[in-house]
Amino acid sequence: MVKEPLVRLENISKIYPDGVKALDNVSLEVYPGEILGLLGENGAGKTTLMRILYGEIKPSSGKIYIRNREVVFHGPWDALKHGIRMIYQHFSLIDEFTVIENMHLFMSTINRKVTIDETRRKAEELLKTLGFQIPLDEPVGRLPIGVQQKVEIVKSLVTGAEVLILDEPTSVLNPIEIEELFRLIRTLREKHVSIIFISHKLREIKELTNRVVVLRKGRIAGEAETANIDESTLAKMMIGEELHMLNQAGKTSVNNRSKEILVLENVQVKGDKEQSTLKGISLKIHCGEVVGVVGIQGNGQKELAEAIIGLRKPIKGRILFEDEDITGLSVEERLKKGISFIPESRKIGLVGEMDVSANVLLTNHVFLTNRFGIIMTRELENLSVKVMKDYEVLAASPRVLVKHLSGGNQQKIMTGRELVKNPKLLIAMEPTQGLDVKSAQQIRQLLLDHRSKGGAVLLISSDLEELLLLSDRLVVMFNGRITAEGTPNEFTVEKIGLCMGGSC
Amino acid sequence: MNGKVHVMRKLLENFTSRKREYGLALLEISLSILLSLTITAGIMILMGYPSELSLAAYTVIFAKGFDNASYLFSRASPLILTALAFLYPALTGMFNIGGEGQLYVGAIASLVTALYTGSSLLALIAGGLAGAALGMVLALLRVYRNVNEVVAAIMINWALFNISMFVIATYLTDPSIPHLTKQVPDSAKLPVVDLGIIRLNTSFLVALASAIGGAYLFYRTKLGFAMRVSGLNPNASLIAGFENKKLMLTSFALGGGMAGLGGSILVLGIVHRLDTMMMSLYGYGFLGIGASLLGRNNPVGVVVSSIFLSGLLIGGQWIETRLGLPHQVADLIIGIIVISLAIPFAYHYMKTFFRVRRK
Amino acid sequence: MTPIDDVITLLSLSLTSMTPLLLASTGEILTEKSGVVNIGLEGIMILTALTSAIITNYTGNPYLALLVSSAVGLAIGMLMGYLSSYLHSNQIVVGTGINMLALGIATLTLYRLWGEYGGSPSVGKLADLQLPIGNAILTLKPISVVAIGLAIASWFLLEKTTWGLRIRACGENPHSAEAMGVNVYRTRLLLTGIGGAYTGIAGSFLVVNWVGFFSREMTSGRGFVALANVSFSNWHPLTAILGAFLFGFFEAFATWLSLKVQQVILPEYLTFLRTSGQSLFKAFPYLATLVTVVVIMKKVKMPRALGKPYIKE
Repeated sequence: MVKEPLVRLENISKIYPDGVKALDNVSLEVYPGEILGLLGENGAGKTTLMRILYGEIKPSSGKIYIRNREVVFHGPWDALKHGIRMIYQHFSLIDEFTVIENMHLFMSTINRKVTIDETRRKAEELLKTLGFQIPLDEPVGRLPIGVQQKVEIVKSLVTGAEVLILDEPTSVLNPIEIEELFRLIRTLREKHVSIIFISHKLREIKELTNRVVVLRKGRIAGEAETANIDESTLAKMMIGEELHMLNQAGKTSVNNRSKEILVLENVQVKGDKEQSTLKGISLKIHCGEVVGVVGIQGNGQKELAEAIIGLRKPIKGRILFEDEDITGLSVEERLKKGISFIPESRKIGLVGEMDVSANVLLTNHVFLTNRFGIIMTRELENLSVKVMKDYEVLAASPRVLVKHLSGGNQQKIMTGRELVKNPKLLIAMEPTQGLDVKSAQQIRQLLLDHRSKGGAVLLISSDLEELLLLSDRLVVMFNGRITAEGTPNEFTVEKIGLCMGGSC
Repeated sequence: MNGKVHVMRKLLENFTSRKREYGLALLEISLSILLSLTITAGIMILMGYPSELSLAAYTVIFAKGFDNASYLFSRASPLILTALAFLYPALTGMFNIGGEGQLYVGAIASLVTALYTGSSLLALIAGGLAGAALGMVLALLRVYRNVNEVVAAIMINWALFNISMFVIATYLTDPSIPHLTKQVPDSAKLPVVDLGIIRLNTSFLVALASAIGGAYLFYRTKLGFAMRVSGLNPNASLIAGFENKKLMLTSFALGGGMAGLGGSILVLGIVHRLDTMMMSLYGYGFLGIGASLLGRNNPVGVVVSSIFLSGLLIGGQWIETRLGLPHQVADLIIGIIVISLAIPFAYHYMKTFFRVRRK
Repeated sequence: MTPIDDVITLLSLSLTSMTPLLLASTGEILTEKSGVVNIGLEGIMILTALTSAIITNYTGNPYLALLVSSAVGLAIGMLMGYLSSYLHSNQIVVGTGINMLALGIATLTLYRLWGEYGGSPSVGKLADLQLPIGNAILTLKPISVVAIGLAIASWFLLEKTTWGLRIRACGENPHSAEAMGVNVYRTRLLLTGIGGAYTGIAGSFLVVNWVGFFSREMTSGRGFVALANVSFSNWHPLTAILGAFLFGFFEAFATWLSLKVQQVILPEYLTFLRTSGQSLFKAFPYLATLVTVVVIMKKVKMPRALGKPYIKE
């Protein structure tokens, strides 16, 4: 039986004023009661396409049809009226409000006349149908992420949703919560809600969806019934080219006689959340070694990095660097000793309003200031020029303001300014995020070069393939503890997944 | 020798690459001034003043306000310092509205020190320290008690206004002239330097030195760099190993010290005594905020804008004597300039407009 | 005068001083709950006080003055709201600019109309309620009652209605609020206007229900004390009533004390209190306010997005 598509996107293109073509003639159909997977890498255009469907962005060309009638969206409010709901990775909830207040806030947009008691009644009914409970009078900010996500979904449904768009919903969940989410999605499909599931994780697409559409560089790279296609074909559609093997020559194995450069002894650090509080980490890193930290964001990786660089003070335990106890030292003192840090976000690591050379100075000032506290401008200039040249930062001069550079160039500055001083220990968080394939390869090669010269790297990344490729040793973190440790070939993907989920 | 050439080359390169930014900033400022003059004229007409009067007023302001250079520069000196009092914490991301109170304590401390020691240097130092101490109070309240620094500053300003009045009237009055204080002894007065073409009061030199010193501190030293980073991005500041709390305290001490110094030079170099109605001290603090904004958050710009605003105010007093109009016309002009400079978006609009045109 | 008379007098004075503070605070709570901080309250008070003096002088109708003043307050508030919402201006700078302007405009107008710099001629006032208690009379001003009523109504609006929920959303997390369909810009524009209107009533009160004429020094920082009261009351209109009363009491106490000092016998070393020491009494309310704020400030929780311009992606 051929069904009518509920939503039809026809020849959607989006070209930004600076010339970037985010979408190129994309057509898509969504049928009632199906789970449609939208697969693609970072920057493939998945989120852009969905934001157009949600009315947040206007397409440069193309049409949208709902139930075969053409619609034009001037804003999300128009899309909302047609029953389209979108849930982002970063939820649009107000932490200080209770669950019911968040729901009612949304409800009052759709239907001004509903009272908060009616909203509550509807929510309670819906929860019963779906088969789980949420504490309605609890401030949202205090609930675990998995529950917050449920709040978002129920909030969308209680106002009447026909199409629910989920943008990378599992990125913040542990494996148990992922299972619950999948169960919820399947229940919704039975209730004739259409789900668009955006992801870059092949396994989830294969497990959950009815149909899958693959986007690559703003174009449709493929479309299939999920049952009729396998993960490796999907992967090839998604990436489109073979990844070159990195130059692993010289990637000799680390023997026990190699010097220990960093030792953590039962370090306990308070985290932003209970889940990320470090509950006793013991770890050794050697010279000439890349240690990769695997884990879902929010399990203590950030806290680990911050404890080593000095941004967080351990409650218990010791940190030894080159056999010296550095637990009480400040960030500046650790920078002097040769520890470097690439933070996970460019918003934290760079000052957009300042120029390139000022940003290079930011973590190199201990080496570029004389004993009167005056900046050595000539040396700074030389260093900035070197960073720009060695790491191929495309900018007219070191005096260009960083905010005018592309994300990729900004990332290169953040990474380059650390590598250029040959630190004894480099803590790198997401060093290749936002970079195109070629630049990411370059940076990965540079990390390996640094390792060959005897430098140590603690690599924290959400890119599992990157970790497997670069690491001499892997360490899996869950709930603020190390749940597994070993060389990459001692792990299977299943084992990693289980340990990430705390089940090993 | 090599170093000097290099520095000159860097400065030139700095200037040429920033040429476009400087040009735009100049455009913004000129437009604000023009806008302000137009709106002020409009308001005056609305109030029923004859329309030729605004034009006459502007002519007087610009002609008479700027023609006596020595007077202009000495009048501008305290304003430069109160502008710096706002600017330096602003570069660190904080609002120092307490310049008014910091100036009062600086003035009184200077006067007392001058009366007891007869030394201008000691008096200057005393004034600066008094202002710095008051600034630190504001910073401590903000950093350790989370008190909004704007509210605290206003309360302190008003409280100090009255307390200063009390101190002046009770302890410092000249027995023969009850509404004025004793005069600063001649040994402590700031001298006037005769340069031939112009006679400069040392006050101006003090102010200029503070501006140049501040510029050097902020753009050539690690401390200044740290303060700017802390103001622009407190998170990045932590990554760099800087301690934000200490930087906030330092910036307020610096800012307060500037205002205190402003009070000092006012007393030691310009008015030489205070009055019980606080008329000689009142207003520099708030005006300094306007001068700082007009100077585009830049120490050199601040010097220029302070001189400009002082010219407007001097001109304002002339229109009172010449035309019988209240001098507040000048206040009005300045107020509108301040507001119109607070609209970044409007200028952004203009920038994109020009960019598109050029394509 | 018996002690009870003193208490009644103090009570009357406190209620009077409380009123402009309460009005401006309540208005500012509404504004700040939506995410905008308006430090131009002082300027609005000056201009609306002047407006009231002018209207009452020319029409003899203080009620009309009240109405027009709140309209002027609304207009200035909306200007502030427009500049900070739609044009992303720095809220503190705009507020400062308004304060600078206000005095200038006021003086120019004063001079134009009456050739005076200091103040306006006396104007008609609203009648007060006089309640005899024992031998003394408790003076209750009608606008004081209005102020308390408005505070209660504002609390109800914010905490108990859907509108209030949407307003508070703008102040906590404007991005989420926008995603849930609230027009953050428009809400902030409106609320800043309403806050300005409340302050307009406060300015009007100064002239038509209290002093009876306009003088340039009449606001003397009240707008800023109101700002302090907003944080002090933890952005809660009902607590703001207590706070405003407390700060009003500080002012009343200082005034009362400065008069008392003229009446009682003083030892030699304290006689300065009658002359130059009067300034100390004037300083007292500000110091007391500051100390109070410092003591309790650690425990308050302000709207998370307060003061930051909201820029739509």
